Amino acid sequence: MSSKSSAAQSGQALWTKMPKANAELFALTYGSLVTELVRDYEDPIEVNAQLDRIGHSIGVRCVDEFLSKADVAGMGMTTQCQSLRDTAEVVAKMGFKMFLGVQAEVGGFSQDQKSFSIYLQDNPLSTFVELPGDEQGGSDDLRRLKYSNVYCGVIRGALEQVNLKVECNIVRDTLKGDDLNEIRVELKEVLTDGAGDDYKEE
Amino acid sequence: MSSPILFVIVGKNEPLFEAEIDTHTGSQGNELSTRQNYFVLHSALDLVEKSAWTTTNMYLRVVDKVNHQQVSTFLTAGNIKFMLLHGGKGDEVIKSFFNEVYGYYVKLSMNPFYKYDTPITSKAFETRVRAAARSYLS
Amino acid sequence: MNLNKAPSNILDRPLDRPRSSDGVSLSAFAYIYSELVQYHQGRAASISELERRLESAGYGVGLKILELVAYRAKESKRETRLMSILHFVSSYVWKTLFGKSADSLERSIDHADEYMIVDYEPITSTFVSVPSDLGQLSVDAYLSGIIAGVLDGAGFSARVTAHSVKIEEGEVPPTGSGGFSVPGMPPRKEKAVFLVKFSPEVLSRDAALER
Repeated sequence: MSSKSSAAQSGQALWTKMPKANAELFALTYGSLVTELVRDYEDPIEVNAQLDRIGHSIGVRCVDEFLSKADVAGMGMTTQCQSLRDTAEVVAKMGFKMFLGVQAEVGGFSQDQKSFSIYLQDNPLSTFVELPGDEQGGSDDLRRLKYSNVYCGVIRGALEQVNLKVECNIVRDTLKGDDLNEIRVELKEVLTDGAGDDYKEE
Repeated sequence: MSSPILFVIVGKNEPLFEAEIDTHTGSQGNELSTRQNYFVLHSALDLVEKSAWTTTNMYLRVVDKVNHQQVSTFLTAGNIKFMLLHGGKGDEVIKSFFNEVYGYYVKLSMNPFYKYDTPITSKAFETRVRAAARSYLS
Repeated sequence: MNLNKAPSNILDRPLDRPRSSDGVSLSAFAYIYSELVQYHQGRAASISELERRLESAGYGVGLKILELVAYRAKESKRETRLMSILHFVSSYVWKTLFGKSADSLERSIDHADEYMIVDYEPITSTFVSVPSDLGQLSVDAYLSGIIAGVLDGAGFSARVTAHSVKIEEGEVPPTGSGGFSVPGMPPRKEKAVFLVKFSPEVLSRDAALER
């Protein structure tokens, strides 16, 4: 499907034009936010929920930026997403690339084509992170922390803006010893507000 | 070299990491010499603090010679002190050891969950420090 | 799937300066930073408390940045003099964080213990505009915290505060256009001035070293 490789190409083109920020400052700033949440909420499950909420707030906002820039790049791809597969490709190859400079992969489509995974090898949020609690008996509590849960909120918030209601979960995490990071995305509902039904389910 | 080596990381107020290394096996040394060794290192601290501002070098060469043992110190940019009590190793091998440990220390400190000037509890850090000691100091 | 695996332990990852293509988009940083500000805002009872919280967040980052930048310089040297640590901050630290040196480093005429680091386009306020109810708040408080962390860690304790100062008619940044202009954004009306006030012990120690 030609849209697959062109998504990657557009992603690269978009990335090149974005003004840049230092990756370590980015990771340390996010780290400061996560550790602050851990101090304030203590319960890792609650922290995960906060990260998701924060991600949602970002997702809703970054979609406008994405859509305006992606259209300018002349691809017009995002208004022609004919399937969840296309949407997945756009999120992974264009979204992640444009904002984070990393190439995410898509796969693991379910039989009913309603869920898929996004795979991320390099995670700019967690560059020097090691979850505490390996050694001490006490707080292996933090093993339940989903450090990069903000991604789930971002994807959820962004897709909501294009009328897709999804649920996201981090199912594999390099901070927990997995080989790569995997975010599972499941379509729950297509919202129709009459503004346009550019989304058609296959 | 039969005498064990004592490596300590000292913060502003307290030790952050300690490893007594028998360079033959890389394992723990015995307890008898331990207390004396810590005393030697502790009294060297004053000398370290005095010389710290007289030079821009991170590596402060032998600062105190007591009982055929020498103390070499490395001061990080953040004034964390790596101190090595040893039986007279060469400057170059000690510098190499310190530089390698500094690399591990910087990576550890980049972890948002590690707070500056607090005890280092990472087993991974300890393993690598001992391995570096075996490579450079035996 | 062709994926290169990074070393599994953080202590085995390389620390060397990444290639120029690495980094993240400024937008990604701005979104995360904006959420950090909003989070602290929700928990602060006053503007000055918000500023303190942001400074405190930056302080921890500064301590880490100090070691990272010094290590990468690979000179095994520490700064022991006041002017050299300021130079370290305004050039090496600034270059690491923002890709360019600070626009200028100045000494206060009125106070011997005060210095100013000036930046015409600080990254933290590029996309974050201050809502009118926050008055004097400068979101650059996070950066002041970073600077304070670097200075304090190196043994030069100082009080660092961020101020937005109007750019005078005809005033041109010393470095020309500044390395950091963002296409499509209107020109800035204010520059960020980071005021560094060193503690008395630092000044007397530095004076003693002069002799």
